[in-house]
Amino acid sequence: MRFCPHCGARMDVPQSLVVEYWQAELALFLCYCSACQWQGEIVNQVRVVVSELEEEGES
Amino acid sequence: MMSQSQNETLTRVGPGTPLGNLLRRYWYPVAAEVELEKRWTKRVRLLGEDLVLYRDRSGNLGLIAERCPHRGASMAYGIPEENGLRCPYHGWCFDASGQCIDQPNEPADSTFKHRVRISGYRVQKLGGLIFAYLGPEPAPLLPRYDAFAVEPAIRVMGQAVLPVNFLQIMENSLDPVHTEWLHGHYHEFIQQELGRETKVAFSRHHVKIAFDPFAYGIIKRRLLEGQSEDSDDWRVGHPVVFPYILAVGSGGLGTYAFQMRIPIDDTHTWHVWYNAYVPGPGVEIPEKLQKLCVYDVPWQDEHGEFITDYIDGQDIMCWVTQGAIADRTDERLGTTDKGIILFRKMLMEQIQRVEQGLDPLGVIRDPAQNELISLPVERKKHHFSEGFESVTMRFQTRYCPVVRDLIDLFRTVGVK
Ligand code: FES
Ligand SMILES: [Fe+2]
Ligand SMILES: [Zn+2]
Repeated sequence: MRFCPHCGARMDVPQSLVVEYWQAELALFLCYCSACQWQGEIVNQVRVVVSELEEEGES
Repeated sequence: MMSQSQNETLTRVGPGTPLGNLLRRYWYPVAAEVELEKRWTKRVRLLGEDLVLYRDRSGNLGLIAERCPHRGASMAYGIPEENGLRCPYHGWCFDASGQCIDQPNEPADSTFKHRVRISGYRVQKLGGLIFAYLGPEPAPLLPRYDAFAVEPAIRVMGQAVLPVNFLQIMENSLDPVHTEWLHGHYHEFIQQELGRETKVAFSRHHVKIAFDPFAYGIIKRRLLEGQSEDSDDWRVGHPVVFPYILAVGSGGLGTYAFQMRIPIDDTHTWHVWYNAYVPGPGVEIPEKLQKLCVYDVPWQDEHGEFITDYIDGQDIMCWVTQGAIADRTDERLGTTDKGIILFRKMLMEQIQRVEQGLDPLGVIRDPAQNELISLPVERKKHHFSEGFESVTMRFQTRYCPVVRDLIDLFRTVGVK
């Protein structure tokens, strides 16, 4: 995690935060950007899972 | 895991550091009032600054830099005056603002003293404690949290200086599941080794945990196996009062327990366990219990090994073995560590608020908000279900010199 996904600022500066933690096989990075205050989690995807859309009415 | 530079941001408390600037926006205990009854000064190290707390002959308190600016002798050996403290070495005298007000051996018309000034910080009393504020003016109000302000109450205070940074101690308070292991299974194991077969409420498994930011910090909640969702543990929980206090609930009504982690410097923390017990209405508080009772909490035995047969000693063993400043660049956080991550993020956000010229979380300036701040805490805590005596003797309170009085009093009158 080198750059903020929201504003593109560097994330490896002392006052931003990137904390990596693990959930089963997933690695997650909690990010807080000191440039734009964006916060969120970035997940390292191991496998892509898509659920089928419900069929709408007829045909 | 996080980077070394971000770990440094979150653990450096000295003057001029980002975290140091944030922490300076809050009031910290520096002594118990009773400590200055029999003496005039107390050496205080807070947020990396060496200070001396003193009482002058008019009864006023002051907190000034320990080092005399003349040639560096310690003001902790100073002579109390009507208004200020005089250095023992050559008699320079300073008032509570840190201004030099007398240099007895300089010419009478010298203006030199007007140009000599050391740090002088605000102090204020509450709940038997003396608090200090090291931040910029105007100072916020000293928060009247319930444990400090409820009356009538019996108050006791255990203390220990721990050779670790305050953050890893605070992180422990955002880590609810450790109680199941450290104070549950590990405790049972230690007792077994001592030939005492026991089962404690602490070992009950956590079904889920939750963390909610609120006006004064973060409330943490837990649901243990077999509990219903309207149990106090899940419905109410208890708070981490930002940035350095843990407030815990009780097994009945009317007790208040704060664990305060006061940063001495980057690698030392003054741990204060401050408890207030409110007896039922109409109960006279016995004379010997009227003043704050201060005692030391031992955590090492004569061989330097940790004492781990009581709850707080178990925590201390973990904090200290993590190292003076926990290395967060090689930790392996899991899903139960989300509270810890939330607290780190809150510190970063609040650092930034201060840099933007705003008040950080929990700073109070409105007196109407500060009459009595009742913190949300569970009053039927499952962990304390074994009763007042059993729980009190398993915590650091077992070292309190008046613990038997407390147990007797609350056995007969019950805790309100
Ligand atoms: S299992 Fe958590 S520190 Fe060892
Ligand atoms: Fe603990
Ligand atoms: Zn950004």
